[in-house]
Amino acid sequence: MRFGHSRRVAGAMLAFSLVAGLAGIQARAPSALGATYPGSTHSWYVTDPTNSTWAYNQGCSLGTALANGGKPQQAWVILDFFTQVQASSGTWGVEYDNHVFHSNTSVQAFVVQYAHGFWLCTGADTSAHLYLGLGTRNIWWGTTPSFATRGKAWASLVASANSALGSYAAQVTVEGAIDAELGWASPSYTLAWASSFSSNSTYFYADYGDAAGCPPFGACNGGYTQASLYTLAWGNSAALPFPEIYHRANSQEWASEALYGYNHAGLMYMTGSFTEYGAVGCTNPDTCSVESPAYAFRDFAADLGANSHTAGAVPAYASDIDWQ
Amino acid sequence: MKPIVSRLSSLAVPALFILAVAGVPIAVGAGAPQPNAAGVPVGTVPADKQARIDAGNRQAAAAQAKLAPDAKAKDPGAPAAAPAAMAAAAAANGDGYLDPHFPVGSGMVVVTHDPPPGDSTIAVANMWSRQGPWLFVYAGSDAASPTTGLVVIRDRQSEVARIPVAGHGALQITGGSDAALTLTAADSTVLTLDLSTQTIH
Repeated sequence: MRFGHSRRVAGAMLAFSLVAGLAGIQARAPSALGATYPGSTHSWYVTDPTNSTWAYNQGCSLGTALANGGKPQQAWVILDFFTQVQASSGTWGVEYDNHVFHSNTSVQAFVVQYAHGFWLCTGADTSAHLYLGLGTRNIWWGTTPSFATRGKAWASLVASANSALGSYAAQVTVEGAIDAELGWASPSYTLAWASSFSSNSTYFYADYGDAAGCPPFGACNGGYTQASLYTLAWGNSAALPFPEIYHRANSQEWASEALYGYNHAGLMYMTGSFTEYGAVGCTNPDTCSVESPAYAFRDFAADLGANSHTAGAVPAYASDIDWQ
Repeated sequence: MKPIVSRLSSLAVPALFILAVAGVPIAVGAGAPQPNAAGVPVGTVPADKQARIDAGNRQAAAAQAKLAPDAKAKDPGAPAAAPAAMAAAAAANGDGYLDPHFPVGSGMVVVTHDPPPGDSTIAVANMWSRQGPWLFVYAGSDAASPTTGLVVIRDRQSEVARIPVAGHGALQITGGSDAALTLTAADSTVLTLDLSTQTIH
């Protein structure tokens, strides 16, 4: 979003706020008319949650960009902390693949410092708002504690992080997030986690996972169905779909999923499109093995828009993940 | 359910911007929301989701209301060091490993049976990882053929090599360096994994 555009947005926001009496509120839910590419944010694979300075600097970088009109005034960012783990002491935390444990205390402090940087560096632009997805993945090591217990624990972490925001809560909301890959954990595990999060949280979780194998290409991988994926990504009251669109096929799978929702339970409104262009290390969208954020958004909007029943589900956000 | 199309249709505000503030989806096109084949109105967000939107909005508004006008001006900016809570957590965490482990080269061998992400083809005996750039080496056996040793090498993004070793049983990492890891098989045979050529001899 360019600077002039953002000023018009601010004007529109003010107009609507006056009409509806909703001054100061922001969107964190899906919207339907995001066919214009909104620009993307950086999401991050966090391999070192102890580096709070890094977190602050990244939050500040995004805040500065929003204040300067270089990004949408509402932004979604996902911080992916990998696998949720409970130590034998009972302490909850996370582990990357190197199996170094970081407690939720560290995770929360990291998130708060990201929010701190964002809040401070937006400066006078107090209309900017960040939805910060505190992400994990559906790779769990072992089957105890139960997946419902784990989902509840993640909900507790998200609530705790919001409570710790203090002043930053005026411009930052921490949400849950899960990279739910159909090839990682079975539907029963993933849905138990998600259902538990949903019933134990007043916050959302973004599903930034895949729909691999799903229609129009065949049956969903890993024993999932379009029905179970619908529950995971939208049917649960806390669920918001922020799907991986790494390739055109992913866009088609999720557009089909949206149509499934329309036909069976209610249209699922896409919150965002999620890419890994940065994580793969690409610099040229025309030669990269995965889609750039702009290309992915374009394809997703086209595939959703190709059917009049799903045209209203086009996302409003785009984010591209990279490595810390 | 909050159908909003008709309520807002008279406002001279672009629909996209309305949505950006209110966070409520509306159907494309004019008119009231139409039900889908299942009878669910399209152009609405379920009431339970709306409740979460409203709760978040209230929280942001409350924080905004409590904010001192000069709060940002007085903020010291980036933390000079890790916040106290984080430092305390790190101190309590020791070196961070919950499983038995020992150093090899600049990395660490961790005795874990957790497989590589999304890979159930290897029964892991232990794994070695190092940073800069990230490299993960899993040693064990073929999950479908326990007498066949197997090593899987991954970078942070994906698998880069898979090396089966027949005739010696499961493998585990027992020593070495950043250049080569020592593998000991179930029959006590000692092998070397050359990480530059990704070969075992």
